[in-house]
Amino acid sequence: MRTDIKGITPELIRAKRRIGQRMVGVYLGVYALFVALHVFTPTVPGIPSMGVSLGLIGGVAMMIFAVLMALVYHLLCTRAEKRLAPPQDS
Amino acid sequence: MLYEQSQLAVILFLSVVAIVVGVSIQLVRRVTTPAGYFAAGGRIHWGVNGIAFVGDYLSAASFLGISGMIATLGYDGFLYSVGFLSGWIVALFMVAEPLRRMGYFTFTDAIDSTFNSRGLRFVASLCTIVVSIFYLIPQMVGIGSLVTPLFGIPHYIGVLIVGVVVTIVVATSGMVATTYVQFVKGILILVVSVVLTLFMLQRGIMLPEHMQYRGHRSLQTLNVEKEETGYAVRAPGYQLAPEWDKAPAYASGFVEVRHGDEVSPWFVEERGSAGLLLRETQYIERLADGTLLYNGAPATAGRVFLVGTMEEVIHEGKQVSQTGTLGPLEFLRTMYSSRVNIWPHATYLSGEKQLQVFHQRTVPVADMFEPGGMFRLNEGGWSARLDFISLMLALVCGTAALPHILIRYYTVPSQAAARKSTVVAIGGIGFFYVLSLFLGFGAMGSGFLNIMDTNMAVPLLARSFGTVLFAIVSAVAFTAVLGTVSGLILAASGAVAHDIMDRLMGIHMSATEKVVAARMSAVVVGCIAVYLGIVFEGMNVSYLAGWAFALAAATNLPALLMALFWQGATSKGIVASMLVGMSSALTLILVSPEMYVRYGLLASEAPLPLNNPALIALPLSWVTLVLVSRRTANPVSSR
Repeated sequence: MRTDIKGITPELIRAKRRIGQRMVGVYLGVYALFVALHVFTPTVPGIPSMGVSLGLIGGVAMMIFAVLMALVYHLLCTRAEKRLAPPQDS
Repeated sequence: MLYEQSQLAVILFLSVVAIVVGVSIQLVRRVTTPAGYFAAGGRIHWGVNGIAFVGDYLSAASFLGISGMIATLGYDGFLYSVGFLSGWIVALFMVAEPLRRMGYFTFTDAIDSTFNSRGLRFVASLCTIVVSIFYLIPQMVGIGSLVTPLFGIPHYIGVLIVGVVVTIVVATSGMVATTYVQFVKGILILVVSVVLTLFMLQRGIMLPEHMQYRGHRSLQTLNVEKEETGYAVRAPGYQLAPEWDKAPAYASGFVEVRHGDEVSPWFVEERGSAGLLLRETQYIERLADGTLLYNGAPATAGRVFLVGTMEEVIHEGKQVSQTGTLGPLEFLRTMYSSRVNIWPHATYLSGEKQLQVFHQRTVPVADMFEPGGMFRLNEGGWSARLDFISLMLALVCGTAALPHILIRYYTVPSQAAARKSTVVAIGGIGFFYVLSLFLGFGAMGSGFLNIMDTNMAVPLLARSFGTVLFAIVSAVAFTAVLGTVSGLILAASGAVAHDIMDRLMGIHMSATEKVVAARMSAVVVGCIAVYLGIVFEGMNVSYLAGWAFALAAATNLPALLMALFWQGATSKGIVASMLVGMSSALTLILVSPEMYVRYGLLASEAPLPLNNPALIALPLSWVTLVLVSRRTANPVSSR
C-alpha cells in the first residue's frame, strides 16, 4: 500500500495539482459550451454538416479532445515528476 | 421468435459462470488479508488496471444501455456517451493521484484521512453503501433483460437466480479475482464491439426484405368504415370497444379494439368520411397490483415482436434497396439521408391500469441525428432544458464519485500508476463509445429491435447476424454485468467491514475475520440488489445509471474534492454536505416524473418536472459544505 509516498515532495504535489486544476478548468469550460449550445441554440446540433449532424461531429470531437487532454496531462505530470522527484519504478 | 432459446448462448452463459466460479474458488484461499481482499495487495500493473477500469465502467449501462438508447432515441442517447466519458477527465485531473496518496482500501479512508472523525467515517460509509446499491439496480435490471430471452423465464426469476450466483461468486473472490475478471471483460467488450461494428459495416444498410435473418414481421392494419349507425371494423372477429371515442386511449391517439376476450389499443389515422385506418401497436399494461403485461400477456408468452426497419435507403443520392459494404463515415452519411421506422410511445391511464403504447412512425433518420428523442429542447420549454443540464452535470460529476471506481485506485502500486491506468481507461472507454454510435444506429434499422426492452439492442443486433454471434454477445454482456456487480459489492462490503465494523465500531477482528465479515456483507448487499432489480424491470439501464451518477455526484463529489483541496473544510461540513446531497437526491428521484410512471401515475402529475436530481442536489450539497464548514471552523485548527 502507498509504496510511492517517499518519492513525493510537497512541490511535486502542488505542481501536479496546478496542472490538474488548469486542465480540468479548460475541459469543463469546453464541456459547458457544448451543453450551453444545446440549451440555448437547440437547432444548431441538428444542422447538416459533412453528411451528418453538427452535434454528432461535436460529440465525437469532445471524445477525441478528452483522450488528447488525458495524454497531455500525463506528459506534463511525467515531466514534473522528472523535474521534482526521483524517478519511479512503475 | 423473441423467446426462442439459443442452446449455444445458454452453454456460453453457463461457461462464463463456471469459469468465474472456478477462478474465485482457486483464489478464495489465497485471499486471507484485508489488503488482498479489498485492494489486491496494491500490486496490479497499471495496464491491467486501466483495462479493468474499462471493464468496471462499461457495465450494463454502457454496453447494453447506450446503444439501446441510440437505437430508439437517436442522438440523445449519444449525449450520454459524451457525459460519461467527460466524467473521467474530472477523475483523472482531480481525484486519481490524491486519492491514491491518501487512502488505504475505501473512499472513506481518503475522505477521512485528515479529519479522523467517527461521524464522518460513518456517514461516508453509509453513502458508499447507498450509492453502490443504486448503481447495482441497472446492473440487475440488465441481467434480467439478458436472461429472460435466453432461458425463457420471467424477469424476476432471472434476476433472482443470476443475482444469487453472482453474489456467491463475488463474495468469495475479492479484488484480485474481480480485477482479472474486469480485465478480461474489458478486452472482450472492446473486441466484440469491434467485430460487431465490422460485421455491420460489411453488411451495409438494407430494406427489411433483403435481410438474411428476419426478426420483424409485417404490421396488421384494420379499416374502419363510417356507417349511418356508427363505425364498423372490416375484419372478422374485430370490433370497436364500447364508447371507444370517449376512452382515455382516444385522447392519446389510439382506439380500443375488441378481439375475442381482449381489448387492445390501435393507432388511429382519421380519414374523414372514409372512416378510420387503425394500425397495430405494442403496449405495456401495468395493472393495479403492479403486474406487467406485454401486448396483453406476460413477457414469457412471447407476444412481443421485433421492429426497427429501414423504410427507404438513400446511398450517394440514389434510392437503393441495399448498399453493400460501407466505410464508417459512409455508413453514418447513408443512415443520415435515409428514412427509418421508429416506435415512439404515449402513456395514459385507463381505469386502474396504466398503458404505455408504442406505435410505428416513419421519419427521416436525420431527425434522429439531432436532439429531441429524450430531451425536447426545441419545444419542451425550460423544464426539458433544465432536465438536460441536470443529466449532463450528473454524468460529468458522477464518475469521480463512484465508490467502485475509486477503490480501483488502491490496487496499483503508485500515484503515477493510478494516473497511467486512468489514461488507458479514457482511451478504451472513448473508443467504445465511438463504436456504440455505430452499434446504436445499426440496431435502429436492423429489424431486430425490441422496443419494449431497449437494453437488448446490441445482443439482438448480433442476432441479426445469426445465433452464434448472438450467443457470444449475450455471454459478453453477462460478464459485463457480472464484473461490475462484483466491483460494486466489494465497495459496499468494504464500507461495512472496514469502515464501519473495524474503524468506526472498533470491533477487533483478525485479518481472516475481517475478510469473512466483508464476504457476509457482500451477501446482504447482493440480496438487496436482487430485490431492486426486480422492482425496476423494464427501465433502460443507462437511464437508471444516470440516477446513480446524480446520487454519487451530489453525495460524494463535493465532500471528496473539498476534503482533498480546501483547507477550510471541516468534518461537520463534510458530514452535512453528504447527508444533504444524499437525501435531496433521493427525494428528488422519488418524486420525479419517471418514478410517477413507475407508481402507475402520469408523469405530468409529478410535483417537479425534473427527472435527474443533480442540478438541485449537487449545488445544495456544495453550499451546505461551505456554510457548515464556515460555522464550525475552529480558529486554531479547522481540520
